[in-house]
Amino acid sequence: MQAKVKQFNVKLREVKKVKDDIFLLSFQSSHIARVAQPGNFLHLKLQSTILRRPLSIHKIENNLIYILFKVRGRGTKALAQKRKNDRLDIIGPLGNGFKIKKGENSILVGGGIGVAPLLFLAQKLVECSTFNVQRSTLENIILLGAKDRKEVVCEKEFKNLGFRIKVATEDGSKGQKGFVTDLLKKQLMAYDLELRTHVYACGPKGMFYQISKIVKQYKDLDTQLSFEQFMGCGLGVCCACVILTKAGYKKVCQDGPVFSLKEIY
Amino acid sequence: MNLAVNIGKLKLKNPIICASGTFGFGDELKRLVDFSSIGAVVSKTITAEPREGNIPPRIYETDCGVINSIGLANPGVDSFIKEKLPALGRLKTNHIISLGGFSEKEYKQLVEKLDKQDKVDAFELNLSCPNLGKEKLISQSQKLSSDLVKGLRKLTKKTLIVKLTPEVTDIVKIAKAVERAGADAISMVNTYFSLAIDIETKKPYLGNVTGGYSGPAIKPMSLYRVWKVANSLRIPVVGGGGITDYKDALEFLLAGAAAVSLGTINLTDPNAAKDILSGVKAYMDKNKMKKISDLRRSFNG
Repeated sequence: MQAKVKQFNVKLREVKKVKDDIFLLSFQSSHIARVAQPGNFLHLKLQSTILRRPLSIHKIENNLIYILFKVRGRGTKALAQKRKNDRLDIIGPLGNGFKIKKGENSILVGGGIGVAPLLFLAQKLVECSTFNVQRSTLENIILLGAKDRKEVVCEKEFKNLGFRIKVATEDGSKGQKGFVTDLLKKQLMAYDLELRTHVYACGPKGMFYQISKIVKQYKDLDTQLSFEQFMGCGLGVCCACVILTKAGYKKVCQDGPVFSLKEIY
Repeated sequence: MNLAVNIGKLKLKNPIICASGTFGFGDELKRLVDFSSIGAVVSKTITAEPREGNIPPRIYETDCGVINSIGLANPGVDSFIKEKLPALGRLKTNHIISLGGFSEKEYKQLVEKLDKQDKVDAFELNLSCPNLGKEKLISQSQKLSSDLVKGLRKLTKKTLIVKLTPEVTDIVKIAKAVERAGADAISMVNTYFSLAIDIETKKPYLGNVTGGYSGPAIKPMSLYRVWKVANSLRIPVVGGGGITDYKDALEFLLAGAAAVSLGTINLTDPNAAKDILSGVKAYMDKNKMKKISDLRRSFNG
Protein backbone atom coordinates (compact mmCIF):
# COMPACT_ATOMS: atom_id res chain seq x y z
CA MET A 1 0.00 0.00 0.00
CA GLN A 2 1.21 3.46 -0.82
CA ALA A 3 2.32 5.76 1.97
CA LYS A 4 -0.25 8.37 1.02
CA VAL A 5 -3.28 6.24 1.93
CA LYS A 6 -5.29 7.37 4.94
CA GLN A 7 -8.67 6.79 6.51
CA PHE A 8 -10.80 9.93 6.87
CA ASN A 9 -14.14 10.92 8.22
CA VAL A 10 -15.21 13.82 6.06
CA LYS A 11 -18.21 16.15 6.12
CA LEU A 12 -19.99 16.44 2.78
CA ARG A 13 -20.08 19.94 1.44
CA GLU A 14 -22.59 19.23 -1.26
CA VAL A 15 -24.48 16.40 -2.95
CA LYS A 16 -26.26 17.54 -6.08
CA LYS A 17 -28.08 16.07 -9.00
CA VAL A 18 -26.27 16.89 -12.21
CA LYS A 19 -28.69 15.24 -14.60
CA ASP A 20 -31.26 12.49 -14.28
CA ASP A 21 -29.47 9.75 -12.30
CA ILE A 22 -26.02 11.37 -12.27
CA PHE A 23 -24.85 13.03 -9.04
CA LEU A 24 -21.89 15.09 -7.89
CA LEU A 25 -20.65 15.21 -4.31
CA SER A 26 -17.83 17.14 -2.76
CA PHE A 27 -15.92 17.45 0.48
CA GLN A 28 -12.78 19.12 1.69
CA SER A 29 -9.46 17.32 2.10
CA SER A 30 -6.12 19.03 1.76
CA HIS A 31 -4.33 15.67 2.08
CA ILE A 32 -6.14 14.10 -0.86
CA ALA A 33 -5.79 17.31 -2.86
CA ARG A 34 -2.04 17.23 -2.26
CA VAL A 35 -1.27 13.59 -3.01
CA ALA A 36 -3.98 12.27 -5.36
CA GLN A 37 -3.16 11.33 -8.93
CA PRO A 38 -5.72 11.12 -11.74
CA GLY A 39 -7.19 7.63 -11.86
CA ASN A 40 -6.92 7.16 -8.09
CA PHE A 41 -10.09 6.11 -6.31
CA LEU A 42 -11.59 6.55 -2.87
CA HIS A 43 -13.19 3.71 -0.97
CA LEU A 44 -16.42 4.91 0.60
CA LYS A 45 -18.20 3.28 3.51
CA LEU A 46 -21.97 3.28 3.26
CA GLN A 47 -24.21 2.21 6.12
CA SER A 48 -26.51 0.22 3.87
CA THR A 49 -23.97 -2.02 2.16
CA ILE A 50 -21.64 -4.65 3.59
CA LEU A 51 -18.61 -3.65 1.54
CA ARG A 52 -17.24 -0.24 0.69
CA ARG A 53 -17.70 1.22 -2.78
CA PRO A 54 -14.76 2.42 -4.89
CA LEU A 55 -15.34 5.70 -6.72
CA SER A 56 -12.81 7.64 -8.72
CA ILE A 57 -11.82 11.22 -8.05
CA HIS A 58 -13.66 13.41 -10.56
CA LYS A 59 -11.87 16.69 -10.02
CA ILE A 60 -10.01 18.67 -7.38
CA GLU A 61 -10.38 22.41 -6.93
CA ASN A 62 -9.07 24.44 -3.97
CA ASN A 63 -8.81 21.40 -1.66
CA LEU A 64 -12.33 20.34 -2.59
CA ILE A 65 -12.58 16.75 -3.77
CA TYR A 66 -15.39 15.92 -6.20
CA ILE A 67 -16.92 12.53 -6.98
CA LEU A 68 -19.23 12.14 -9.98
CA PHE A 69 -21.38 9.03 -10.04
CA LYS A 70 -24.39 7.43 -11.66
CA VAL A 71 -26.98 5.58 -9.59
CA ARG A 72 -26.68 1.96 -10.60
CA GLY A 73 -27.04 -0.29 -7.53
CA ARG A 74 -27.48 -0.31 -3.77
CA GLY A 75 -24.27 1.58 -3.07
CA THR A 76 -24.67 4.46 -5.48
CA LYS A 77 -28.35 4.77 -4.51
CA ALA A 78 -27.36 5.18 -0.85
CA LEU A 79 -24.69 7.68 -1.82
CA ALA A 80 -27.19 9.75 -3.80
CA GLN A 81 -29.35 9.98 -0.68
CA LYS A 82 -26.56 11.59 1.32
CA ARG A 83 -27.07 15.24 2.18
CA LYS A 84 -24.91 18.24 2.88
CA ASN A 85 -23.12 17.94 6.26
CA ASP A 86 -23.54 14.13 6.38
CA ARG A 87 -20.35 12.33 7.40
CA LEU A 88 -18.60 9.86 5.14
CA ASP A 89 -15.87 7.38 6.06
CA ILE A 90 -13.29 7.30 3.30
CA ILE A 91 -10.08 5.36 2.65
CA GLY A 92 -7.79 6.74 -0.02
CA PRO A 93 -6.43 7.79 -2.35
CA LEU A 94 -5.98 4.26 -3.67
CA GLY A 95 -4.74 2.53 -6.77
CA ASN A 96 -2.38 3.13 -9.62
CA GLY A 97 -3.60 6.09 -11.63
CA PHE A 98 -2.96 7.42 -15.13
CA LYS A 99 0.64 8.12 -16.04
CA ILE A 100 0.80 11.49 -17.73
CA LYS A 101 2.70 11.50 -21.00
CA LYS A 102 4.16 14.90 -21.67
CA GLY A 103 4.74 16.24 -25.15
CA GLU A 104 2.04 14.17 -26.81
CA ASN A 105 -1.44 14.76 -28.13
CA SER A 106 -3.95 13.51 -25.60
CA ILE A 107 -7.14 11.81 -26.62
CA LEU A 108 -9.43 11.10 -23.70
CA VAL A 109 -12.20 8.58 -24.28
CA GLY A 110 -15.10 8.43 -21.82
CA GLY A 111 -17.85 5.85 -22.12
CA GLY A 112 -20.93 6.82 -20.10
CA ILE A 113 -20.11 7.61 -16.47
CA GLY A 114 -16.54 6.52 -17.33
CA VAL A 115 -15.99 10.22 -17.96
CA ALA A 116 -15.74 10.70 -14.18
CA PRO A 117 -11.96 10.28 -13.65
CA LEU A 118 -11.10 11.91 -16.97
CA LEU A 119 -11.83 15.44 -15.78
CA PHE A 120 -9.22 15.15 -13.02
CA LEU A 121 -6.85 13.75 -15.65
CA ALA A 122 -7.64 16.70 -17.92
CA GLN A 123 -6.84 19.11 -15.07
CA LYS A 124 -3.45 17.46 -14.58
CA LEU A 125 -2.70 17.32 -18.31
CA VAL A 126 -3.32 21.05 -18.59
CA GLU A 127 -1.19 21.71 -15.50
CA CYS A 128 1.69 19.73 -16.99
CA SER A 129 1.46 21.20 -20.47
CA THR A 130 1.77 24.69 -19.04
CA PHE A 131 5.46 23.89 -18.58
CA ASN A 132 5.79 22.20 -21.93
CA VAL A 133 7.55 24.13 -24.70
CA GLN A 134 5.80 22.17 -27.41
CA ARG A 135 2.35 23.06 -26.20
CA SER A 136 1.42 25.14 -29.22
CA THR A 137 1.57 22.13 -31.49
CA LEU A 138 -0.21 19.75 -29.15
CA GLU A 139 -3.85 19.03 -28.86
CA ASN A 140 -6.14 17.84 -26.06
CA ILE A 141 -9.35 16.13 -27.10
CA ILE A 142 -12.14 14.46 -25.16
CA LEU A 143 -14.43 12.00 -26.90
CA LEU A 144 -17.64 11.47 -24.96
CA GLY A 145 -19.83 8.47 -25.61
CA ALA A 146 -23.25 7.87 -24.12
CA LYS A 147 -26.49 5.99 -24.62
CA ASP A 148 -28.42 9.23 -25.06
CA ARG A 149 -28.10 12.97 -24.45
CA LYS A 150 -29.09 12.60 -20.80
CA GLU A 151 -25.88 10.73 -20.12
CA VAL A 152 -23.60 13.36 -21.67
CA VAL A 153 -22.01 15.40 -18.88
CA CYS A 154 -19.03 17.67 -18.18
CA GLU A 155 -18.80 19.31 -21.62
CA LYS A 156 -18.46 22.76 -20.11
CA GLU A 157 -15.72 21.69 -17.71
CA PHE A 158 -13.59 20.17 -20.47
CA LYS A 159 -14.19 23.21 -22.66
CA ASN A 160 -12.98 25.48 -19.87
CA LEU A 161 -9.76 23.47 -19.77
CA GLY A 162 -9.25 24.08 -23.48
CA PHE A 163 -10.24 20.61 -24.66
CA ARG A 164 -11.84 19.95 -28.01
CA ILE A 165 -15.02 17.96 -27.42
CA LYS A 166 -16.70 15.40 -29.63
CA VAL A 167 -19.83 13.53 -28.67
CA ALA A 168 -21.41 10.31 -29.87
CA THR A 169 -24.72 8.92 -28.62
CA GLU A 170 -26.14 5.53 -29.40
CA ASP A 171 -29.57 6.96 -30.18
CA GLY A 172 -28.23 10.02 -32.00
CA SER A 173 -29.91 12.44 -29.57
CA LYS A 174 -26.66 14.38 -29.31
CA GLY A 175 -23.54 14.58 -31.46
CA GLN A 176 -22.80 11.81 -33.88
CA LYS A 177 -25.06 8.76 -33.85
CA GLY A 178 -23.03 5.71 -32.93
CA PHE A 179 -20.25 4.76 -30.55
CA VAL A 180 -17.45 6.79 -29.02
CA THR A 181 -15.02 4.32 -30.59
CA ASP A 182 -16.20 5.51 -34.05
CA LEU A 183 -15.01 8.98 -33.02
CA LEU A 184 -11.67 7.57 -31.91
CA LYS A 185 -11.16 5.77 -35.21
CA LYS A 186 -11.83 8.98 -37.14
CA GLN A 187 -9.64 11.08 -34.88
CA LEU A 188 -6.65 8.77 -35.21
CA MET A 189 -7.01 8.69 -38.99
CA ALA A 190 -7.01 12.48 -39.06
CA TYR A 191 -3.67 12.67 -37.28
CA ASP A 192 -0.30 12.75 -38.93
CA LEU A 193 1.25 9.55 -37.63
CA GLU A 194 4.57 11.32 -37.02
CA LEU A 195 2.90 13.16 -34.21
CA ARG A 196 2.96 11.28 -30.89
CA THR A 197 -0.45 10.62 -29.47
CA HIS A 198 -1.61 9.06 -26.22
CA VAL A 199 -5.05 7.63 -25.51
CA TYR A 200 -6.58 7.58 -22.01
CA ALA A 201 -9.88 5.79 -21.60
CA CYS A 202 -12.46 4.86 -19.00
CA GLY A 203 -15.70 3.08 -19.67
CA PRO A 204 -17.26 -0.34 -20.09
CA LYS A 205 -15.18 -3.39 -21.03
CA GLY A 206 -16.91 -3.66 -24.44
CA MET A 207 -15.56 -0.20 -25.26
CA PHE A 208 -12.04 -1.22 -24.23
CA TYR A 209 -12.21 -4.21 -26.54
CA GLN A 210 -13.24 -2.00 -29.47
CA ILE A 211 -10.42 0.44 -28.63
CA SER A 212 -7.93 -2.43 -28.60
CA LYS A 213 -8.97 -3.36 -32.14
CA ILE A 214 -8.66 0.23 -33.37
CA VAL A 215 -5.26 1.02 -31.85
CA LYS A 216 -3.66 -2.23 -33.02
CA GLN A 217 -2.70 -0.70 -36.34
CA TYR A 218 -0.80 2.19 -34.69
CA LYS A 219 2.19 0.55 -33.13
CA ASP A 220 3.61 3.69 -31.51
CA LEU A 221 0.33 4.59 -29.91
CA ASP A 222 0.12 4.04 -26.18
CA THR A 223 -3.21 3.60 -24.49
CA GLN A 224 -4.12 3.54 -20.81
CA LEU A 225 -7.41 2.07 -19.64
CA SER A 226 -9.07 2.55 -16.26
CA PHE A 227 -10.98 -0.61 -15.29
CA GLU A 228 -13.90 -1.13 -13.00
CA GLN A 229 -14.38 -4.32 -11.00
CA PHE A 230 -16.46 -5.09 -7.94
CA MET A 231 -14.07 -4.89 -4.97
CA GLY A 232 -13.65 -6.38 -1.53
CA CYS A 233 -11.10 -4.56 0.57
CA GLY A 234 -9.73 -2.14 -2.04
CA LEU A 235 -6.36 -2.40 -0.28
CA GLY A 236 -4.81 -5.34 -2.10
CA VAL A 237 -5.31 -7.97 0.60
CA CYS A 238 -8.42 -9.94 -0.35
CA CYS A 239 -7.55 -10.64 -4.02
CA ALA A 240 -11.21 -10.38 -5.07
CA CYS A 241 -11.09 -7.70 -7.78
CA VAL A 242 -8.63 -9.32 -10.17
CA ILE A 243 -8.78 -9.13 -13.95
CA LEU A 244 -6.92 -11.33 -16.39
CA THR A 245 -3.83 -9.74 -17.93
CA LYS A 246 -1.16 -11.22 -20.19
CA ALA A 247 0.93 -11.70 -17.04
CA GLY A 248 -1.84 -13.49 -15.14
CA TYR A 249 -4.41 -12.11 -12.73
CA LYS A 250 -3.81 -8.59 -11.44
CA LYS A 251 -5.63 -6.67 -8.72
CA VAL A 252 -7.68 -3.77 -10.06
CA CYS A 253 -7.47 -2.04 -6.66
CA GLN A 254 -3.71 -2.12 -6.37
CA ASP A 255 -2.07 -2.93 -9.73
CA GLY A 256 -4.80 -0.85 -11.42
CA PRO A 257 -7.38 0.50 -11.85
CA VAL A 258 -5.35 1.96 -14.73
CA PHE A 259 -3.55 -0.57 -16.91
CA SER A 260 -1.69 -0.16 -20.17
CA LEU A 261 -3.81 -1.60 -22.99
CA LYS A 262 -0.87 -3.75 -24.00
CA GLU A 263 -0.96 -5.51 -20.62
CA ILE A 264 -4.50 -6.70 -21.25
CA TYR A 265 -5.19 -7.11 -24.99
CA MET B 1 -8.17 -6.12 33.65
CA ASN B 2 -6.32 -8.91 31.93
CA LEU B 3 -7.24 -9.37 28.28
CA ALA B 4 -4.61 -12.00 27.52
CA VAL B 5 -5.69 -15.44 26.36
CA ASN B 6 -3.83 -18.66 25.65
CA ILE B 7 -4.43 -20.65 22.51
CA GLY B 8 -2.29 -23.74 22.97
CA LYS B 9 1.23 -22.49 23.66
CA LEU B 10 0.43 -19.21 21.99
CA LYS B 11 -0.13 -16.28 24.33
CA LEU B 12 -2.20 -13.49 22.81
CA LYS B 13 -2.31 -10.01 24.33
CA ASN B 14 -6.03 -9.90 23.59
CA PRO B 15 -8.66 -12.25 22.12
CA ILE B 16 -9.15 -10.44 18.77
CA ILE B 17 -7.87 -12.39 15.78
CA CYS B 18 -8.02 -11.26 12.15
CA ALA B 19 -9.17 -14.22 10.07
CA SER B 20 -7.32 -15.75 7.15
CA GLY B 21 -7.90 -14.19 3.76
CA THR B 22 -9.14 -10.87 5.11
CA PHE B 23 -5.88 -9.30 6.24
CA GLY B 24 -3.27 -10.41 3.69
CA PHE B 25 -0.13 -11.23 5.63
CA GLY B 26 -0.68 -8.20 7.86
CA ASP B 27 2.23 -6.15 6.62
CA GLU B 28 0.26 -4.73 3.68
CA LEU B 29 -1.97 -2.81 6.06
CA LYS B 30 0.65 -1.42 8.43
CA ARG B 31 0.11 2.21 7.39
CA LEU B 32 -3.59 2.07 8.04
CA VAL B 33 -3.99 -0.29 10.97
CA ASP B 34 -3.16 -0.10 14.67
CA PHE B 35 -1.78 -3.58 15.39
CA SER B 36 -1.68 -3.01 19.13
CA SER B 37 -5.41 -3.88 19.21
CA ILE B 38 -4.94 -7.14 17.33
CA GLY B 39 -4.13 -10.31 19.27
CA ALA B 40 -3.07 -12.20 16.15
CA VAL B 41 -3.30 -12.07 12.38
CA VAL B 42 -3.97 -15.31 10.53
CA SER B 43 -2.20 -15.08 7.18
CA LYS B 44 -3.75 -15.69 3.82
CA THR B 45 -3.59 -19.46 3.30
CA ILE B 46 -0.19 -20.60 2.02
CA THR B 47 0.07 -23.57 -0.31
CA ALA B 48 3.09 -25.62 -1.40
CA GLU B 49 3.01 -24.13 -4.91
CA PRO B 50 2.01 -20.59 -5.97
CA ARG B 51 -1.66 -20.26 -6.92
CA GLU B 52 -3.21 -17.72 -9.27
CA GLY B 53 -6.65 -18.22 -7.77
CA ASN B 54 -10.08 -18.66 -9.34
CA ILE B 55 -11.64 -17.12 -12.45
CA PRO B 56 -13.16 -13.67 -11.71
CA PRO B 57 -15.61 -12.32 -10.72
CA ARG B 58 -14.59 -13.56 -7.28
CA ILE B 59 -16.88 -11.61 -5.02
CA TYR B 60 -20.59 -10.91 -4.77
CA GLU B 61 -22.45 -8.91 -2.15
CA THR B 62 -25.93 -9.74 -0.86
CA ASP B 63 -28.13 -7.60 1.42
CA CYS B 64 -26.47 -9.07 4.48
CA GLY B 65 -23.33 -10.95 3.47
CA VAL B 66 -20.58 -11.56 0.96
CA ILE B 67 -19.95 -14.57 -1.27
CA ASN B 68 -16.33 -15.04 -2.25
CA SER B 69 -14.45 -17.45 -4.41
CA ILE B 70 -10.82 -16.36 -4.30
CA GLY B 71 -9.41 -19.86 -4.62
CA LEU B 72 -6.39 -19.51 -2.29
CA ALA B 73 -4.46 -17.12 -4.52
CA ASN B 74 -1.02 -16.93 -2.85
CA PRO B 75 2.67 -16.79 -3.76
CA GLY B 76 3.47 -20.30 -2.50
CA VAL B 77 5.48 -21.27 0.57
CA ASP B 78 9.00 -20.62 -0.77
CA SER B 79 8.23 -17.14 -1.97
CA PHE B 80 6.30 -16.48 1.27
CA ILE B 81 9.37 -17.38 3.36
CA LYS B 82 11.68 -15.28 1.21
CA GLU B 83 9.56 -12.23 0.50
CA LYS B 84 6.78 -11.90 3.07
CA LEU B 85 7.99 -13.48 6.29
CA PRO B 86 10.91 -11.10 6.99
CA ALA B 87 8.56 -8.11 7.30
CA LEU B 88 6.16 -9.80 9.72
CA GLY B 89 8.29 -9.69 12.85
CA ARG B 90 8.10 -5.92 12.88
CA LEU B 91 4.37 -5.80 13.56
CA LYS B 92 3.24 -5.75 17.17
CA THR B 93 1.03 -8.79 16.91
CA ASN B 94 1.25 -12.58 16.66
CA HIS B 95 1.35 -14.33 13.32
CA ILE B 96 -0.63 -17.48 12.76
CA ILE B 97 0.18 -18.96 9.37
CA SER B 98 -2.71 -20.62 7.55
CA LEU B 99 -1.76 -23.72 5.58
CA GLY B 100 -3.64 -25.30 2.70
CA GLY B 101 -2.71 -28.56 0.99
CA PHE B 102 -4.07 -30.89 -1.64
CA SER B 103 -2.56 -33.98 -0.01
CA GLU B 104 -1.11 -35.04 3.31
CA LYS B 105 2.32 -34.81 1.73
CA GLU B 106 1.81 -31.14 0.90
CA TYR B 107 0.68 -30.29 4.42
CA LYS B 108 3.76 -32.06 5.77
CA GLN B 109 6.04 -30.13 3.41
CA LEU B 110 4.49 -26.86 4.55
CA VAL B 111 4.88 -27.63 8.24
CA GLU B 112 8.47 -28.83 7.78
CA LYS B 113 9.45 -25.69 5.88
CA LEU B 114 7.78 -23.27 8.29
CA ASP B 115 8.42 -24.99 11.62
CA LYS B 116 11.96 -23.64 11.86
CA GLN B 117 10.87 -20.05 11.18
CA ASP B 118 10.63 -18.20 14.50
CA LYS B 119 8.38 -15.50 13.06
CA VAL B 120 5.73 -18.17 12.68
CA ASP B 121 3.94 -18.18 16.04
CA ALA B 122 1.38 -20.89 15.24
CA PHE B 123 -0.23 -22.82 12.40
CA GLU B 124 -3.84 -22.81 11.36
CA LEU B 125 -4.68 -25.80 9.19
CA ASN B 126 -7.23 -24.73 6.62
CA LEU B 127 -9.20 -27.95 6.16
CA SER B 128 -12.27 -26.08 5.03
CA CYS B 129 -11.77 -23.86 1.96
CA PRO B 130 -15.01 -24.22 -0.07
CA ASN B 131 -13.53 -22.85 -3.30
CA LEU B 132 -11.24 -25.56 -4.58
CA GLY B 133 -13.74 -27.49 -6.66
CA LYS B 134 -13.27 -30.59 -4.53
CA GLU B 135 -16.08 -33.07 -3.91
CA LYS B 136 -15.43 -33.14 -0.22
CA LEU B 137 -13.56 -30.89 2.20
CA ILE B 138 -11.05 -32.56 4.52
CA SER B 139 -12.94 -31.28 7.56
CA GLN B 140 -16.10 -32.96 6.30
CA SER B 141 -14.45 -36.28 7.07
CA GLN B 142 -13.69 -37.26 10.64
CA LYS B 143 -11.10 -39.79 9.50
CA LEU B 144 -9.25 -37.55 7.00
CA SER B 145 -9.09 -34.67 9.51
CA SER B 146 -7.98 -36.89 12.34
CA ASP B 147 -5.28 -38.71 10.33
CA LEU B 148 -3.91 -35.46 8.95
CA VAL B 149 -3.70 -33.78 12.36
CA LYS B 150 -2.05 -36.86 13.88
CA GLY B 151 0.58 -36.84 11.15
CA LEU B 152 1.32 -33.14 11.45
CA ARG B 153 1.36 -33.17 15.25
CA LYS B 154 4.52 -35.29 15.11
CA LEU B 155 6.28 -32.65 12.98
CA THR B 156 5.87 -29.55 15.09
CA LYS B 157 5.71 -28.31 18.65
CA LYS B 158 4.17 -25.05 17.56
CA THR B 159 0.52 -24.45 18.29
CA LEU B 160 -1.74 -26.26 15.82
CA ILE B 161 -5.14 -24.71 15.24
CA VAL B 162 -7.56 -26.53 12.97
CA LYS B 163 -10.10 -24.54 10.96
CA LEU B 164 -13.35 -26.37 10.35
CA THR B 165 -16.19 -26.05 7.90
CA PRO B 166 -19.68 -25.57 9.34
CA GLU B 167 -21.03 -27.70 6.49
CA VAL B 168 -21.32 -31.04 8.31
CA THR B 169 -24.08 -32.99 10.04
CA ASP B 170 -22.31 -33.11 13.39
CA ILE B 171 -19.51 -30.60 13.88
CA VAL B 172 -18.95 -31.67 17.51
CA LYS B 173 -17.98 -35.14 16.33
CA ILE B 174 -15.41 -33.74 13.88
CA ALA B 175 -14.05 -31.28 16.46
CA LYS B 176 -13.66 -34.03 19.08
CA ALA B 177 -11.78 -36.22 16.59
CA VAL B 178 -9.43 -33.34 15.81
CA GLU B 179 -8.91 -32.73 19.54
CA ARG B 180 -8.06 -36.40 20.12
CA ALA B 181 -5.63 -36.26 17.17
CA GLY B 182 -3.57 -33.64 19.01
CA ALA B 183 -4.83 -30.24 17.87
CA ASP B 184 -4.25 -27.36 20.30
CA ALA B 185 -7.33 -25.42 19.26
CA ILE B 186 -10.26 -25.30 16.88
CA SER B 187 -11.00 -22.31 14.67
CA MET B 188 -14.50 -22.01 13.36
CA VAL B 189 -16.30 -21.34 11.17
CA ASN B 190 -15.08 -21.17 7.62
CA THR B 191 -17.62 -19.94 5.04
CA TYR B 192 -20.84 -21.69 3.98
CA PHE B 193 -21.33 -23.06 0.45
CA SER B 194 -23.39 -20.63 -1.59
CA LEU B 195 -24.56 -19.54 -5.03
CA ALA B 196 -25.89 -16.37 -6.65
CA ILE B 197 -27.45 -16.17 -10.12
CA ASP B 198 -27.85 -13.16 -12.40
CA ILE B 199 -31.43 -13.49 -13.66
CA GLU B 200 -30.72 -11.26 -16.69
CA THR B 201 -27.88 -13.36 -18.08
CA LYS B 202 -29.10 -16.56 -16.39
CA LYS B 203 -25.51 -17.21 -15.35
CA PRO B 204 -23.90 -17.50 -11.92
CA TYR B 205 -22.41 -14.21 -10.71
CA LEU B 206 -19.12 -15.81 -9.73
CA GLY B 207 -16.61 -17.07 -12.27
CA ASN B 208 -16.17 -20.23 -10.27
CA VAL B 209 -19.98 -20.67 -10.03
CA THR B 210 -20.13 -21.28 -6.26
CA GLY B 211 -18.50 -19.48 -3.36
CA GLY B 212 -18.25 -19.26 0.41
CA TYR B 213 -20.76 -17.10 2.31
CA SER B 214 -19.65 -14.82 5.12
CA GLY B 215 -20.69 -11.62 6.85
CA PRO B 216 -23.54 -10.69 9.23
CA ALA B 217 -25.93 -13.22 7.64
CA ILE B 218 -24.01 -16.22 8.98
CA LYS B 219 -23.61 -15.01 12.57
CA PRO B 220 -26.46 -16.86 14.31
CA MET B 221 -25.59 -20.14 12.58
CA SER B 222 -21.92 -19.75 13.39
CA LEU B 223 -22.61 -18.77 16.99
CA TYR B 224 -24.74 -21.91 17.43
CA ARG B 225 -21.93 -24.14 16.20
CA VAL B 226 -19.27 -22.39 18.29
CA TRP B 227 -21.43 -22.74 21.38
CA LYS B 228 -21.95 -26.46 20.71
CA VAL B 229 -18.27 -27.18 20.14
CA ALA B 230 -16.85 -24.94 22.86
CA ASN B 231 -19.00 -26.71 25.43
CA SER B 232 -17.98 -30.19 24.32
CA LEU B 233 -14.20 -29.80 24.10
CA ARG B 234 -11.30 -29.17 26.45
CA ILE B 235 -9.16 -27.29 23.92
CA PRO B 236 -9.95 -23.63 23.18
CA VAL B 237 -12.16 -22.54 20.31
CA VAL B 238 -11.44 -19.47 18.21
CA GLY B 239 -14.98 -18.49 17.31
CA GLY B 240 -16.32 -16.27 14.59
CA GLY B 241 -18.47 -15.96 11.52
CA GLY B 242 -20.16 -12.66 10.77
CA ILE B 243 -18.80 -10.60 13.67
CA THR B 244 -19.37 -6.94 12.86
CA ASP B 245 -19.17 -5.12 16.16
CA TYR B 246 -18.24 -5.61 19.83
CA LYS B 247 -21.68 -6.97 20.68
CA ASP B 248 -21.24 -9.80 18.19
CA ALA B 249 -17.79 -10.51 19.63
CA LEU B 250 -19.25 -10.62 23.14
CA GLU B 251 -21.88 -13.15 22.06
CA PHE B 252 -19.15 -15.51 20.87
CA LEU B 253 -17.13 -15.01 24.07
CA LEU B 254 -20.22 -15.61 26.22
CA ALA B 255 -21.01 -18.73 24.20
CA GLY B 256 -17.62 -20.15 25.14
CA ALA B 257 -15.09 -19.01 22.55
CA ALA B 258 -11.62 -18.39 23.99
CA ALA B 259 -10.93 -15.80 21.30
CA VAL B 260 -12.86 -14.34 18.37
CA SER B 261 -11.99 -14.03 14.72
CA LEU B 262 -12.97 -11.10 12.53
CA GLY B 263 -13.38 -11.78 8.84
CA THR B 264 -15.55 -9.88 6.38
CA ILE B 265 -15.69 -6.79 8.61
CA ASN B 266 -11.94 -6.32 8.05
CA LEU B 267 -12.61 -5.71 4.35
CA THR B 268 -14.89 -2.81 5.18
CA ASP B 269 -13.10 -1.58 8.24
CA PRO B 270 -9.44 -2.52 8.55
CA ASN B 271 -9.43 -1.02 12.06
CA ALA B 272 -12.50 -2.97 13.24
CA ALA B 273 -10.38 -4.84 15.81
CA LYS B 274 -9.68 -1.60 17.65
CA ASP B 275 -13.36 -0.65 18.05
CA ILE B 276 -14.34 -4.19 18.96
CA LEU B 277 -11.62 -4.51 21.59
CA SER B 278 -12.55 -1.24 23.24
CA GLY B 279 -16.22 -2.27 23.26
CA VAL B 280 -15.36 -5.59 24.90
CA LYS B 281 -13.21 -3.80 27.48
CA ALA B 282 -15.96 -1.33 28.34
CA TYR B 283 -18.47 -4.18 28.76
CA MET B 284 -16.12 -6.13 31.03
CA ASP B 285 -15.48 -3.04 33.06
CA LYS B 286 -19.20 -2.41 33.51
CA ASN B 287 -19.77 -6.04 34.49
CA LYS B 288 -16.77 -6.06 36.82
CA MET B 289 -15.00 -8.82 34.91
CA LYS B 290 -11.26 -9.25 35.32
CA LYS B 291 -10.37 -11.69 32.57
CA ILE B 292 -11.74 -12.91 29.24
CA SER B 293 -12.82 -16.28 30.63
CA ASP B 294 -15.14 -14.46 33.07
CA LEU B 295 -17.36 -13.81 30.09
CA ARG B 296 -17.79 -17.50 29.40
CA ARG B 297 -18.45 -18.21 33.05
CA SER B 298 -21.15 -15.56 33.23
CA PHE B 299 -23.26 -17.05 30.45
CA ASN B 300 -26.69 -18.15 31.69
CA GLY B 301 -27.36 -20.61 28.89
